[in-house]
Amino acid sequence: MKRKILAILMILCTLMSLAACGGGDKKTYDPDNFLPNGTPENPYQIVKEPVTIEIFAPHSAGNPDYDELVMFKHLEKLTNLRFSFTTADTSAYSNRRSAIWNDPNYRPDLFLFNNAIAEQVQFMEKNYNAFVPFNDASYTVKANSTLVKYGENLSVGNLIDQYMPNYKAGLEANFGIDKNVSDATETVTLSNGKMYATLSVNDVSRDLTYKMFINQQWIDNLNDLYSLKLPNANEINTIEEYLDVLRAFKKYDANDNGDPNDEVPVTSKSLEYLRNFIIQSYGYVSNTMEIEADGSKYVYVPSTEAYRKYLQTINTMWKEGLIDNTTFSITTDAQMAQKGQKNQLGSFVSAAAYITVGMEYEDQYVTLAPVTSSYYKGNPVQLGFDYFKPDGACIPQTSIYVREVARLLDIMYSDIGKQLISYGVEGENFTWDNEEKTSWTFNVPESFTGTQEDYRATITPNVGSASALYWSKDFVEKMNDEIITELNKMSASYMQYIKIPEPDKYEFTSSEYEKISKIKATLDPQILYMESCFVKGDQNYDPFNDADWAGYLTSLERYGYKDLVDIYNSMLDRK
Amino acid sequence: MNKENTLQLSQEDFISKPKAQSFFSKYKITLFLMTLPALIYIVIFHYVPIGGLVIAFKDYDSFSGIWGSPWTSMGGFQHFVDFVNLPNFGVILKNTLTLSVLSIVFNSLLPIVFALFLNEIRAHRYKRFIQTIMYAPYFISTVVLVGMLFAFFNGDNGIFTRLLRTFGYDGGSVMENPDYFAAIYVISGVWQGLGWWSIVYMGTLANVDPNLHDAAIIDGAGRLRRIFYVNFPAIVPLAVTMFIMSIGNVLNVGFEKVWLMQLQTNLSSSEIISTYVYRVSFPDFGLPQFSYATAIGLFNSAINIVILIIANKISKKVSETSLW
Repeated sequence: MKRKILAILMILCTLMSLAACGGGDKKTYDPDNFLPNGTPENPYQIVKEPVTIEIFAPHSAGNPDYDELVMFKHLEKLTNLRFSFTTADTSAYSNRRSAIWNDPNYRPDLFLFNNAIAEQVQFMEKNYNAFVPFNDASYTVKANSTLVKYGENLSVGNLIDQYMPNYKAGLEANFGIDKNVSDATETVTLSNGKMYATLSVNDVSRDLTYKMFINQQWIDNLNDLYSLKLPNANEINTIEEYLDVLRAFKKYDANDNGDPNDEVPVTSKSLEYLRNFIIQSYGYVSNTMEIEADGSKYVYVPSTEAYRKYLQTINTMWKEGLIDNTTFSITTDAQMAQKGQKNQLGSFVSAAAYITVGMEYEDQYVTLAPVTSSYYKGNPVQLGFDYFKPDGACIPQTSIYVREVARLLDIMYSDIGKQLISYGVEGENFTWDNEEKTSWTFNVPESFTGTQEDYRATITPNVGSASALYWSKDFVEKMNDEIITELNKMSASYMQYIKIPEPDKYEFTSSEYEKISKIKATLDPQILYMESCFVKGDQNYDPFNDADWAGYLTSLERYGYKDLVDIYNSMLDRK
Repeated sequence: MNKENTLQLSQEDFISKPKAQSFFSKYKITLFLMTLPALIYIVIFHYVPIGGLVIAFKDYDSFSGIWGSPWTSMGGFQHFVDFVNLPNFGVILKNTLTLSVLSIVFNSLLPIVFALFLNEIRAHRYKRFIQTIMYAPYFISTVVLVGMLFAFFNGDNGIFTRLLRTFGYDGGSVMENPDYFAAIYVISGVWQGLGWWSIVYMGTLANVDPNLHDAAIIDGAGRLRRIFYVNFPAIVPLAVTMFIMSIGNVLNVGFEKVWLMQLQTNLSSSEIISTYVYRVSFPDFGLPQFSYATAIGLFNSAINIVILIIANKISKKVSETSLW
């Protein structure tokens, strides 16, 4: 008898656990709960009574959960919305996101950050009606959709015109960026004229390019102690002059510590950005597909004569011992910092000098402007990242809270949104230094034990993932910090040289996206490997040898670089 | 009176009469029901997902899902053909097999040798000490292990680099050198797993009948002969089973360690199937190629199964030991 009872209990448990996997109740929707213009007391309020917005977003491992972040707590208070987050670690994001579309029980109201353009194009081509178009006046939320119970179709119209005044103003003003450099509207509009995502906007100079540092103190030491006539950092105009300075770093006791052999003229994590700095002196800025300066066509840079010049230069640097011999093993900032903090580095690439050399030697370093060469005598060019990415936020068509989410997103493009995503709440996390609001101070509590970035991670999802709908120089660059201010100033001076190798305004077809990712999966590692062989001058990889270069080009062809060029240029021809 | 009655019971009264069996006990339904949760678990989490392999033959897109996505061209085999036609298919396969075969050989043989010798140590404390020292590295995580390798082989002042330089080596970090990649991968793997994998053999050796040893001693066998003719045959069946099982994973070289050890300078030796799958699964550009990655995984598994069957057959013929 006991056994029978046990067995029946087992069955019941199993059935109950299976039943728990079943669907939940449908949401109900009250259209009158929505406040299109807020209230007189609170223009940011979006709903009268709280409703829950389901948000799906990427999340960096180690950072606090989103519902603990100051930014979202503050937004809840402002808008009267409630947020329920489903987050996926950035490494598993694609898989989790892919599974959502076929989950009958979960459909978010908002995909925040990381909305790949390739996915938008694929869904558009196949007429899936997956995402709400932000600029479609005829858009209607369907009544009684899978997850929502609502009596009639709800016409919401053009979301940008009706509910997103800040975003609309941004688009109209191109967010203050020269349209010839980057066009916001063109970037976010797909070939059918619709905008299925909002933009990620970044106009903070220091985050739009990389930074090459050189030790000005060492140059001064060498000129003073050895009566050399080395140019100052701001006078280095060609790659040949740069190499001469590095040679002097190598030859003499530049750090003046009594040991002439401990100086490392230049180092980098693998060749990251060091290669870009050298390639720039030959007229290109990247080591993959790049649009010509006049926008006429794409070239595959590693197949050009300019790239060969780069290889010859870096090979020379390697042979002369100018590059750190552990460069290829360095994969983290911390590894690079081991030498930096001993004052052994002459030149390096870093987000900021103090990260690599510590505060003790930070003031010895200045950034280095892009240079030209005897081969390329045109305008200097510097690798830049696009101001606009069409991946900010998407609303799935299964959401009934389309108007509410549109207003929420608009707040994220307002002054308050720019502050929240970067440094938090005015008066709490930061305070303005003066009435003119020309600078502000970040208030890290004295009791907080971590770093400044650790504290910022308690405020915003931006830390670790660099996710932001609007990373704005109007606010971010006003931070009251001597080092940051100097970085901003130096980076801003390089903005005139910026070249974006693959502008985000260009959109491929989904089959082209697939072909490109397949080719690049084999071609990219092969290029890196062959580059390292050329740097070290391995057998059959002498960049000065014509036969070796010809063999390299044949190998590139085998890996399909010409197909890549054809795909890019046929896309360009369609524009 | 009662006593009398008892004595009057006939023999028939002691023969149990067949009772009417309930449905539950007749078909042992209760026992079957007890296994039901486990069965449901296995079906849902181990068998149903196998159906997802169908995307290897489709152009999967997340909105249409597994069953709604269209079949790919070439009768569903487009992704397999693309993989085999890769310009570096041969290199990827060769690298995968090199790491795998070397790992299998060394990780199968050396623990046996180690266990046989360890078994000969009579000082129990010393034996335990050695055993503990040898299997401690097994608990080091892969990330830490690879970090140690980079530190020990640092091109400037790594302890192993300095050691190599005393023998005339004048290069930088050997971690960067594709010629040494397989050796470092395998040796560090053996170092990490030797003690751990020998435990299972030590257990078998402890159960060898002492009479066999006594008999061998009477026959004049020395220590080495007893190892070869008594201990070794005792662990052969287990060793063969372990070997066949590892052969079944010949193309499944662990992703994590290779990915962490991979540098742009050693890519010619370190690009293997699983690292390539990672690249197509999480591309910097475009969308994840789920179908293509699944096709490569299926290709892997199919070859693994074929090799497993062949290895099992050979083993059955040669040693009369097999998995089935």
